[in-house]
Amino acid sequence: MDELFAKIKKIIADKLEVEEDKITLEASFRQDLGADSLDTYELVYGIEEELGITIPDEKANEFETVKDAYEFIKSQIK
Amino acid sequence: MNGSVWKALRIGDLEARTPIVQGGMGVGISLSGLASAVADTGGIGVIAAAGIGLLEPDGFTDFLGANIRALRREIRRARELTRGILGVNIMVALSNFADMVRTAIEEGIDVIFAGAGLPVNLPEFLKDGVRTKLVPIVSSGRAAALIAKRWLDKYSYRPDAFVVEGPRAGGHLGFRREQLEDPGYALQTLVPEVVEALSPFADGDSPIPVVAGGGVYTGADIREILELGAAGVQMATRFVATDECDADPAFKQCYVAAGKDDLEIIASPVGMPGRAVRNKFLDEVEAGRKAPYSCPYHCIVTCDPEKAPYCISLALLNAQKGRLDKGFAFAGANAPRVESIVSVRSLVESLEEEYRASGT
Repeated sequence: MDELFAKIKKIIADKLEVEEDKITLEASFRQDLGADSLDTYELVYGIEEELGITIPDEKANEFETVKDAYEFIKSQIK
Repeated sequence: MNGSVWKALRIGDLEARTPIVQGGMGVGISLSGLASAVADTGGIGVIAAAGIGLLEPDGFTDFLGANIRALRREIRRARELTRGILGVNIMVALSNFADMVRTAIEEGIDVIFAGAGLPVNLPEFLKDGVRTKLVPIVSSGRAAALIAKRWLDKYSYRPDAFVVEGPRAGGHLGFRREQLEDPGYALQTLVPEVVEALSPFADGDSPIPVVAGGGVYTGADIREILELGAAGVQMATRFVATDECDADPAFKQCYVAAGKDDLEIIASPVGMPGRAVRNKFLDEVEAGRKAPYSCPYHCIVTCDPEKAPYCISLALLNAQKGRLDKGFAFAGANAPRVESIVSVRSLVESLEEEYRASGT
C-alpha cells in the first residue's frame, strides 16, 4: 500500500468515524462508509487541508468510491 | 423603529423591523404578490425561484430562458410594489442554480436564501459593489459551521445570516424520516445548537444572526424562538393562507380544509422527505399507479427521471394552478390549524399582538 493511500485512509477514518480496515478502494462512500452529503464535504475539505490540494466542489459530489477520490487526488498531487 | 415590541432583524446593513422572513415556496406559491406584501409590513418577502419559468408559456420548451425571464420579472414587479426588503429562495439542487443566483444578483435582490443542498460556492457569484446578502438554509449546527468555515477560508466571506429549518417545516426537509419526530432534532433544540456552532465565526462582538423556521405559528411561538437565541423567524404556512399568496384559491383552500390527519411525509423524487397535504394524487403515487413520464428538462440535480414516479415540478405547478387532482400541496406541520384566508397585514398585526401578549 502506498503512502498516499495510507494518508487518505486516515483522513477518511477520522472524518467519517469508520474503522480503517473498512476503507478499501472498492468501498462506496455512501453505501459502505455511511457518508451523507455533509460528511462528503467535511472529508473533501479535510483532504484539501491535509494534502494542500484543491478539489473543485462539483468533483466532491462525483466521488462514488474511495478509488474515485484516490485517483483524482493522485492526479492533483504531482 | 415604530415602537414595536419585537426587535428588528438585522442582516448586515438591512433592518427588517418585523423579524419575520417569509419562507420561499415553490413552484409559484411565493412570487412578487406575496413577497411584496410581506416586505411592506416590515418583514422580508421571498420569491421562490424553483420552477418559476414553468409559469411562462414556453416554460417546458425553453426551460432555462423562461426561468431567467420569469425571475427577473417577478423581482422587478415586487420592487415596484414595495420599498421593503426582498429576497429570493434558490434551491442548491436546482440544475439552473447558477443562472438563478446570477439573475437575482443582477436585479439587485437584497437577500439570497439557499438551501436543499449545501451552498458551498455561493460567494463565488458576488462581484465588487454587490450588496446582496447571502443566507444559507441548514438543518444542523454542523452544516452551519461547515459552510461558515468554508466561505471564510475560501472566499474570505462571512455568511450574512443563517436560516435553520426544523423538522416541522413544509416541503422538502433536511432530515431523515425517522428524525422528524425525534426531540433531539426539534427546532427548540436546533436553535441553540446552531447559534453555538456559529459562535466561533462571529464578527467581533456581532454573532452571525440565526433565523429559525419550521412550525412557528403564533406570536407566542415567535417569542419562544427568539428567546432561544434566534434573531428572527421564518414562516411560510401561514402566508399561504393570505389574500396575497400567489397560488390559486383552491390551493389555499386545501390548507383550510386539511384536518390534523391529512398531512403525510412523502419520499420526494428530489431524494428528500417532504411534508404535504394527502390527496388522491399522492395516494395513487403510493399505490404505484403513476405511470412513468417524459422529463422535459432535468431541473433538479438529485432527481432521477428514470426512477421518479412523477414529475415533481409539474405536480407542484398543477397544484399552484388549483389543479389538485394532478398535483399536491406541500405544507408545514401546522397547516391543519389554518382556518381562514386573511390579508398579510392583518396576519402580521395579529402575530405582533400575540407576541406582545405572550410577554406578560
